[in-house]
Amino acid sequence: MATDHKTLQPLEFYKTFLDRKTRPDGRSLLEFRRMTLNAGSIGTADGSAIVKCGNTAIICGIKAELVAPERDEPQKGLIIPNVTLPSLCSSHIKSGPPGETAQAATQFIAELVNNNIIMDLETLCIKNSKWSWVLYCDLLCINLDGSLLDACVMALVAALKNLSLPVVSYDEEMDKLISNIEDKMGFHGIKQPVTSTFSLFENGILISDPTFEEEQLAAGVISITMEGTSVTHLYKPGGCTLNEKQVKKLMQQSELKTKEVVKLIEEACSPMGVEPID
Amino acid sequence: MPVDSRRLQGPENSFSYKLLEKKNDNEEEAALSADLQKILIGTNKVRKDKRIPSDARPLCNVTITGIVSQAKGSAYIEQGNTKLVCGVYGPREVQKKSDFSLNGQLFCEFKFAPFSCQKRRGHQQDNEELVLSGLLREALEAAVCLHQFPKAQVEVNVMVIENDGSPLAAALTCASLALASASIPMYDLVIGTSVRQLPKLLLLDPTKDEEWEPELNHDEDNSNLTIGFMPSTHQIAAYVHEGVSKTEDLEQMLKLATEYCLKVQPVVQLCLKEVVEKTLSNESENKVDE
Repeated sequence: MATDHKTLQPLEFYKTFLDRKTRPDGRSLLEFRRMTLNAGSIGTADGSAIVKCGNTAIICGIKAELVAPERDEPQKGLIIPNVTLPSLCSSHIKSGPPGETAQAATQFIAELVNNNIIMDLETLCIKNSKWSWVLYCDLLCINLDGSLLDACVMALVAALKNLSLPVVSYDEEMDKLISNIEDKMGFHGIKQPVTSTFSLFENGILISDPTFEEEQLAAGVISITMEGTSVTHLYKPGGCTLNEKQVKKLMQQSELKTKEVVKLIEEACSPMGVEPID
Repeated sequence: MPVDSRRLQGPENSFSYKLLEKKNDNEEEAALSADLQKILIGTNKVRKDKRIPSDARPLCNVTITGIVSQAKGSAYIEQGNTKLVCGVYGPREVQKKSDFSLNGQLFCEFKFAPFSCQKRRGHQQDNEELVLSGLLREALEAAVCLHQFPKAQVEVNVMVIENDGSPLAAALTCASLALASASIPMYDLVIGTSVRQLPKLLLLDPTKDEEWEPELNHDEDNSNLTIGFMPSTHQIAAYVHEGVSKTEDLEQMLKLATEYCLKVQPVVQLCLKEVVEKTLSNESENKVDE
């Protein structure tokens, strides 16, 4: 009976839940899904992290390479993020070149990177205008069930923190690079931005961390990226309107999530290992 | 090279930091091809990872349900450090009308994640991945009852997260588990395994270092064999041999591989049994709720 109602009138079905201030998966409106984070489990990558937010699962692997920096920005390194949604991750994704969702997500992450929200790109420089690191960060979605950006940002930050590279230095007299395999290093100064996604419904109802189904039904979506208590990026592509009071409420919620995620990343990237929290 | 405008491309001339260390490795490589056996196997006949030659790496963390909740069936397996996920969708409508066939069809996509190998891989399927996709499809076609879903297509997507040798063998096992969990009718499971042949020595389930490489090992009695074996019916669904070996050695390799598959069969069946039990108990719970 319930399943028939759901297939025939999904929005009506969903609204009966919203009216009672709950959701089909048992969460309250502003509750986030359980998150787990595992860093450094992929041996072939220089840095890696696996994030699960509810059902959504993202694997981030980083391969580091060396390159001569671009002429116009000689003191900067590069981070090349790519979000891949293989046909494996959802029945709505066709195999072939990346679709709109994947391209939009890639662009979102690239914007965070280029605005130095994730880390200062100058720390990737080895020798001004000679050599710098380029980090190929591939974000691979294994299971797409909503709030893709949240999981992507979390995976990217954790993988960057997990990065372990040989110490490479530039010998000016010989004009060449020298690498020291024994010494391993990571990069300092990786910031901790946290993205929180919310879905909006027409009658002013807001829900956090929407699933794929909820994203399809909702009238709009907003992604707030925060670092500590300050907003670093706000992304609201179209959809219905929001008033000031609602935005304030969302900010409070993202602040709560930010605290939780930062704690999770610190635990996972410390030598102690993996600690899932609720 | 056509430019891929849908992804962010890095600079063209970047290179891996591993190349900095490679300078004096040429001599080492020469030594490697000559004395490969000595390098792979220590004096006491133990491999680098402490296995004896006829030992396979254990299958671990086999997870069958819930890895890809959006898919009809999915599986994740780890064989040593080789890690892969498989998702199965369908049976659903065939997208290209030209591919019409009265029997059901399988569509297989085999992909290495960009960070899964020592060298960074591209995003688009390369030739190696296309060949592996084809091999995977042909092997699974032997096991799936294609006549049960005429005019429709089942999609099998395999993603290698980390490659530490024998990816095709692991993919065969993983894909047949995912197909079974998607309730696609099958005659039998396909269990994959590979064997590396060295002069007078066979290594079961080789790691990346132990695998046969076309550039290095072109002398005699140097080869790699991957089979997909259907244990209940005792049939071979896939047989991929690369390198040079004598016919009588092939028999031995095949024997070693099939013996291993027969050993793995009960393990894989147990995993599936657990899944069935779980689904049945969930279903009965739901009925009580209603």
